[in-house]
Amino acid sequence: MKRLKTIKLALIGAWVFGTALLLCGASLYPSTAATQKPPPKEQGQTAQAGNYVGEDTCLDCHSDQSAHYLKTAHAKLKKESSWKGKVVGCESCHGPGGAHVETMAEALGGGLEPAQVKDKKIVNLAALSPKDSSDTCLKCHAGREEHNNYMRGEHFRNDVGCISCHSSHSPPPAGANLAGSNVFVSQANAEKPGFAAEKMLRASEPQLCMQCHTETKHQFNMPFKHKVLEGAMKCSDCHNAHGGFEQKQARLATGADAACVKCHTDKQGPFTYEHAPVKTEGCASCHTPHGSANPRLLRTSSVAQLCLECHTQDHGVGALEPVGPAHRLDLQYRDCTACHVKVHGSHTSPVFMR
Amino acid sequence: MKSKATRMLRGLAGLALCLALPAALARAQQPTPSPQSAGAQTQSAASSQKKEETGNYTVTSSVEIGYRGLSVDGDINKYQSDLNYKAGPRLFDSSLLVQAKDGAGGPFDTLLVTTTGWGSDPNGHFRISMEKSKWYRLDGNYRRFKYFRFLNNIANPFYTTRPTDPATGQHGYDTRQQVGDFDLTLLPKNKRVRFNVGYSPTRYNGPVFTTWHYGGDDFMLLSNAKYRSNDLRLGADLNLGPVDLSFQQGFRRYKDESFIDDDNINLGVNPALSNAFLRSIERAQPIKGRVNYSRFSAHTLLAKKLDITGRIIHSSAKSDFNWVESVVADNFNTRITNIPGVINPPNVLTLGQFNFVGDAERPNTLGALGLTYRVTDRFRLSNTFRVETFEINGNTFYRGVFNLTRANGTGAVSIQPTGSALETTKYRKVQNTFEGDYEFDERYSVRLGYRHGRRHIETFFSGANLASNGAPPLPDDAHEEDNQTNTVMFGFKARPVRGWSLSLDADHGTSDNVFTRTGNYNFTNIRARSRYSVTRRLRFNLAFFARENANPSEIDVNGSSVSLADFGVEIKSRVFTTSLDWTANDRLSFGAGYNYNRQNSDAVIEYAFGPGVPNAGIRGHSLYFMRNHFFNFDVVAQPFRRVSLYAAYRVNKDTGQGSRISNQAAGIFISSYPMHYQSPEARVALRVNRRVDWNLGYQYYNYNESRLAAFNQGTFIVSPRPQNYHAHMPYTSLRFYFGGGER
Repeated sequence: MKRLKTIKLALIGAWVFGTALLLCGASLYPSTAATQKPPPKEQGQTAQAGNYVGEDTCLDCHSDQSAHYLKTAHAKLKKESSWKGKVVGCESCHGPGGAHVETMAEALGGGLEPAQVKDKKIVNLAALSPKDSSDTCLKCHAGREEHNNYMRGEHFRNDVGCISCHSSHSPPPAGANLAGSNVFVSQANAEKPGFAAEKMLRASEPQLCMQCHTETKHQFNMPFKHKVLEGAMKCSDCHNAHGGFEQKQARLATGADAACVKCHTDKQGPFTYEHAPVKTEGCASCHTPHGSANPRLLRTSSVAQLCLECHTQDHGVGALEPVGPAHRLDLQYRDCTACHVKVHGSHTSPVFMR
Repeated sequence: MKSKATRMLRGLAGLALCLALPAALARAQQPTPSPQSAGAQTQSAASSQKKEETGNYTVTSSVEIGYRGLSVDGDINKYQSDLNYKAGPRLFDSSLLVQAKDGAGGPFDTLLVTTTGWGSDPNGHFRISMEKSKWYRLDGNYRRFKYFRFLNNIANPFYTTRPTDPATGQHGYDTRQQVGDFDLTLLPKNKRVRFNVGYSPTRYNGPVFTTWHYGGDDFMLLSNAKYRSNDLRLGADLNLGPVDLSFQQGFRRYKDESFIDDDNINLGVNPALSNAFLRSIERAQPIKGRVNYSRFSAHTLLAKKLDITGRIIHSSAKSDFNWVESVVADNFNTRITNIPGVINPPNVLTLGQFNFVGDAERPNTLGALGLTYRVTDRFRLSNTFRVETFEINGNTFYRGVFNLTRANGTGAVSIQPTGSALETTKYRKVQNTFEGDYEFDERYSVRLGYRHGRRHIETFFSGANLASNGAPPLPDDAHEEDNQTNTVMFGFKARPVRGWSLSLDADHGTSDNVFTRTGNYNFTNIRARSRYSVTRRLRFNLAFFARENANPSEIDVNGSSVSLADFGVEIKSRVFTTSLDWTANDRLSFGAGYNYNRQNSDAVIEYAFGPGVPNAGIRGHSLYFMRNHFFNFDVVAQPFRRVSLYAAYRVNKDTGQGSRISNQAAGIFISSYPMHYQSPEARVALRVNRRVDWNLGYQYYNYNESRLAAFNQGTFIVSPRPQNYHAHMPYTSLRFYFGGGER
């Protein structure tokens, strides 16, 4: 206990000290957002290498991207006073466009078509590695807690970058109005393209996630499952796609509890008698959360077998071996939860009888 | 069911005719379109995509309403437990998207409202997203679930005593749950500061069957479940130079007001009048809980090289309860109930009263620190440290009154036991992960890592066994365990050609102890994925996952150790998955996939089985098998400008344990869930005019678990009989487009 307090104190102390240090040193380092001179206002101005030309100049040529881009949150930043003095718009991600404008002007003047010109003087995020392209996004987006641990998350580790799922200027998914399932979420009755576009997602959930996580499809088609395909839940209700400190990038509920108890509130406790694995091992030690043929999403179809896998011999912490005639597997009591009804925790019974 | 369904189907056919007629008329009144080139058709479709303008806003909206028919053959309870779709009118889906023309409007820049599944659906949701980017953003959702469970394959002890009445699973319920999340962010685009307010209510209620093992029998009781919680969150995000700070303070209040009030005679699962039975029971079990939690996090990027993130969460959970229960009953088994043996059955419990009062607390602290240092443009080092501690302290005080007489009313006995108990659980986990990631170039990278974790757990119990009437004191019970786990991780990523990405991840770890026998002890996980976007319209995925965990589970029996190899747990799983998505053009897309999931689990267990044998200590194997094949495809087509089609097929087929048969006498317990579950679906959408689509669809569900019965050998039964069903669900609907629609 003393050791525990020491760790707590050390952790909190380190934070206070670290925060103070960082605050004091704020002037030593540049802001996470690029701080540059505002772009020239007059279009057509001769741009020097490294010069910013402003998004109007970009959109003059890239009109196919402008229609969608102008409705996104990125386009609105230029009107925010708190972003004044910082580069916003196209060049905040693609870098200064002056050299690109010059190159393209020369090429087009020489009779080339835009598609024929391979200009490397402008940053093309799609050509970068996922980690490098994500670094560009994180310059601004890392500050939100949702994104803070992205660089140590599973997606980043596996080269799934921000633009794998998000697009700041691609149109919504095509074919949105075609017929689709009226039970399972499909393009026809999923969250609307406009909704996805607000988050700049390339597609709505869960289709977006299942494009890669195909291994989950069969689980959500099982007799017992969480209603994700039906649209009543989203992958992001339980997982943070941007990383996190928890396994499987699971979210937390009410502070430090498992995401499950956010809806399954009666399992949250605290109980006088807690079934310790619920908190120490997590719900997935007995349940398969996505879907299962087994009732209650249990890992096995036989309740007794599931329980006995731990409750055999006196194994460690309180996993006592069931003894006595009432625990004979050939009798009517073989389904443990018939008597031990409050297996997640009880206020009145140390063996969870009610 | 069938006659009702037939009426529904007739009604549906009539409705379809009514819907079809105006559609046909509308179609007939239009001039025959001139042949158009594909390009012209596309242009025409594009022109219809123009949204309607209302003042400063453009509106995109649609509502789909219709009627669903239903015909179910087979096990209606299983159908309702799985699907629970009902026949009747239904709001299939609706959406409203309002966007300011120049990006900035009056009260809002963007408003989106979507709904799905209201009416005869078991799941419905409502979502709203509204934003005026300079000032606020509101994201909200409200979801409603209708739960139904009445199965004969779990908690079904009636079967052994009532084999002629097997459809009586004990823990059935028919409940409703509402869940909401509403989050308001003030100044959402402000670089320096943002404020957050959130509210999440949860409601759950409905009839729930529970069981109570009491007095020498097991009773099924009808409980009225009713609990609710309200979660309020306040927070702010702050940018101070290079440092981003976030703070959130949350308050959750929880109340459980479930109760039982049953005056009917309850004979229990052993329905002999000479056995114990309840005459009445009243149980009130109000519980009040609260969780106050604080979360603080910080992030900075120093010199564009060092990314630092930290988070501290502290939550303090507490619950108080006051349990009162009154029982009138007959023939209580005094051996089990600890009532003095002088009043052995037959007897009458004229009053059995329990009163439990107590509370439980659980402070929980979670701290984490993540660092990533960009050594060079291609080389990164990361370290993630995480510590979690919690402590659960529960106290219960018990007071009971038990008045008994002999069957003829004489020999009154009264006992008034009291007792108390406390239980404590302490837990600490410290884990550190160190990783290095190197990119050879834009296409190839490799990752190596090492994770070390330590856990410590203590449990302590002191007091009486409050599960019993007599509340006999128990000896103090204390446990303490530690474990350490060391894991090495490896990853390789490649993008051999544009659009093709390969990833391989593996981790292998060993532990010196586990808290649960199935926990990670000696484990190896491998994940390999290939994602290939051949073109923007053709994508092919392939993945393979392997997981293994072996736990020798060291034990000590009567002072002598048991061979580790003979007393272990071994879990293996293999998953193979592949999928193909092809969008031929704007009018045709196709998707298909196959998934194979194989699981083997083998755990040595000790059990009791059969009369005349010890009540515990026979050693055997608990085996679980899954051999699931899943195939799916869906196709979306628009063969004509006014007609679009959707067809899909999904099937899960699990062959389970195959030809293996349990042999309890030999200590072989095998379980699986062999089943076959398929759901084809088709839908036609006809564009009646600019504002109306007419849809006609059909869904079919076929669930078959008949093979399960073949494996129910002896008396070790997972399910007493198959719960097969076929469900036919035709439906028709009209989708109305407002404000230009989503076309």
